[in-house]
Amino acid sequence: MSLSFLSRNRTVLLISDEALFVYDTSASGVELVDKYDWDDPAFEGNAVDAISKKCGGKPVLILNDMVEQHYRKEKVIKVGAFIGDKSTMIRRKLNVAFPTYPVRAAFPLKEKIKKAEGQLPADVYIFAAVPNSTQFNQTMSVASKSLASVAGFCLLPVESSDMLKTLSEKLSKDKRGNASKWCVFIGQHKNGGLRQIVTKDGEIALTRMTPVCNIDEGVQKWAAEVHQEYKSTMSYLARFGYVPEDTLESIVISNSEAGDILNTLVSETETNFHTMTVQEASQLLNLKIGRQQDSHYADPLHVAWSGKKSKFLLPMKASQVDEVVRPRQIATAASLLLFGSALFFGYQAMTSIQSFASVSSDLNRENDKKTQLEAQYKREVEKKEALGFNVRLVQASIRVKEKLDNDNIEVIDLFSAIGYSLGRDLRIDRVIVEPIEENIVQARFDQFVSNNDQKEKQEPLYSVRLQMTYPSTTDVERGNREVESLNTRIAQALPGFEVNVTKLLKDYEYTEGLIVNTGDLNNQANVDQDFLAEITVKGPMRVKDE
Amino acid sequence: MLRVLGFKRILFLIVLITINALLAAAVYMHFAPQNLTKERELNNIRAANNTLRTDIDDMQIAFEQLDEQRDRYQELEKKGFFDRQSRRQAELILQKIQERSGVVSAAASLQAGTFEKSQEAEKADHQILKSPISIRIEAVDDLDVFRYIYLVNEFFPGHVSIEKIEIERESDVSGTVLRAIASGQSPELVKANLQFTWRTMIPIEGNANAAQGGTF
Repeated sequence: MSLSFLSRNRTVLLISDEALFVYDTSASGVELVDKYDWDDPAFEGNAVDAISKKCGGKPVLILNDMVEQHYRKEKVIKVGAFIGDKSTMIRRKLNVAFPTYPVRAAFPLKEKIKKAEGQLPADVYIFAAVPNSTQFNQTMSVASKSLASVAGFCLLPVESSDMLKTLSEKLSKDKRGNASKWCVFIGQHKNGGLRQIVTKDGEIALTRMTPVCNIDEGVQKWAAEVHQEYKSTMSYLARFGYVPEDTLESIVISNSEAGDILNTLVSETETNFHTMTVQEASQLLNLKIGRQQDSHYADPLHVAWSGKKSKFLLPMKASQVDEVVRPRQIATAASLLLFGSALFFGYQAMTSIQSFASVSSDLNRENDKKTQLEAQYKREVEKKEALGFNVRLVQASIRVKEKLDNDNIEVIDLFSAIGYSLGRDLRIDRVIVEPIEENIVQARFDQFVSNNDQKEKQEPLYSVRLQMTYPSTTDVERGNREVESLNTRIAQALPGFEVNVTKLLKDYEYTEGLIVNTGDLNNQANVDQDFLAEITVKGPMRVKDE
Repeated sequence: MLRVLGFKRILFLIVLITINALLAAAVYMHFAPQNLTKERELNNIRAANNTLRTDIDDMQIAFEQLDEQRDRYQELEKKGFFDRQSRRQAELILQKIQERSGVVSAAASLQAGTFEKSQEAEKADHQILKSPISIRIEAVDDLDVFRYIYLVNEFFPGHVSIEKIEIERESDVSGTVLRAIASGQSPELVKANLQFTWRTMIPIEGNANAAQGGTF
């Protein structure tokens, strides 16, 4: 399957009034596959066969080169954001300009109309349309039945206008270094018509298709007719704003003999008149067109230029085109996406298989190791049991006991140390010893953040809350000092424990609030409560097993 | 659709969709779970191997250490670490402790025993039997309570872990209290709530009818 909008290998269908020309374009050049007359009864079958078989079903670009192509220069007033959508406005104007032509499109020019008195600012567009002709319908039917992707339906003169610009730049650069304002390109096509395209500032200004004689009828006659058509075109140019002061490049595709004659015919004029063969033009444009039998036919140049484009200047809009183009473009995009995802899944599968193989290999190795270790363990057990020693029970019971002891608290030693720190004058009214509730979420988070450090993390196992009651008449500051002093003594007596005052009699630190009652309070019911102080001891700090 | 896209294109799309579905199914429904299972299996075997290696290292210790271990084991045996937690025995011990500690009263509640998982014990075909004990004590002095705790710790068979201790002074020494003491009474000035867990290690095959609860 070909990728319609990425590939430059395309089949180009050139619609002329006489026949449908099928070109096969590739990196090596342009090849005319065949031409198919519209009134040939086998037209459809032959053309479909050419696209799908001879050209290998490559994406199709349809270029309209018929005489009946309509162009109109239109102003589109710049509108504010609240008035309407610009594209809708252009669509409406197109509908008004070409109401009976279903295939149409608009192309913005660089030219702008500035705001002036009594005149709103506007953009200038070229509106183009082609009629719903039999040839158009036959071509779309062929494109549809060939099942090839359709890259677009375009107008040859418009798509070749940027080719003229490039040619003009190359030719004028040799002499002055600047591109000319105007460029006239003349070339005979294989259907016999002489296609003339005129560009102004690189954008299409005029195109003509006129019949001329075949070069076989005489080079002199051919050159004279071409010169006559050239003069006619030059006479029209003034209507399009051309003045003799403007720079102009004229390019005619011809064989060398006809070129020489043409050069003598126009030698009196002041324009930059160039004649060149189609091969010479293709070299200037860096296009590969391959071997061409007739060097005076220009259509291979147009076909090669448009065929390599990734983006077209004026893709024509029509329901017949969309019916064929859109589903195929969607199918191609879906194919690309599916192909990409298949690659991704394939990569995932390969990685998984590699990982699986690696884990399986490790597993086998570890299993072998386990078998060896079990055998070794069995030998050791048998050796010890031969000495009358149930080594498994002895070792297991010692380990279990050690673990139980490790998780327990030596409460008598703890109380003894606290009692020693109390001295003679102080007494504790309430003691609560309890295990510290582990914050499971925090523990998991710590494990996630630092998996290795977790094993070495020391945590207290128990908390001991010591509560002391002081009468309401106690001097608060003195009481607080006593509590803090006791806290220091306990901390000294219990190294490795966290000892903190968790409640003072009354806290005068800035972190606490305070209510002050002053003055005559004798009449108030005043029941003073005892003060409660609390010291919390946390410990012992032990390494927690996971 | 078939007319516009053509049989080949539709077939190509179907083939691509099928390939995607097959690959996705293979990756997420076959390889990923299988890899996970294998990795878990590998980790388990590695852990088991590490334990085995440690056990072998431990067993390859010198004879002097063997003697020491045997002594410790015999001590545990003597301390009742392998007992089946007879409730009658516990009742008698708690009565003795209450008498010797000097507390005024001690109401102990021994709940039914349950089995605790222990890999170490399982290696020797044993399991941990644990029974929660709650004791409410009333005493004249907090020293009596501390003595009670000490005696439980020293003389209870197996291993006793402290779960929670709450000691509170209920009232101060007043003239009334002193008179009561002088007349031979024991006024309760201190109250304590003790929660312990009693653990012993018993053979796995003997776990049936392991223990029953009781209040002493």
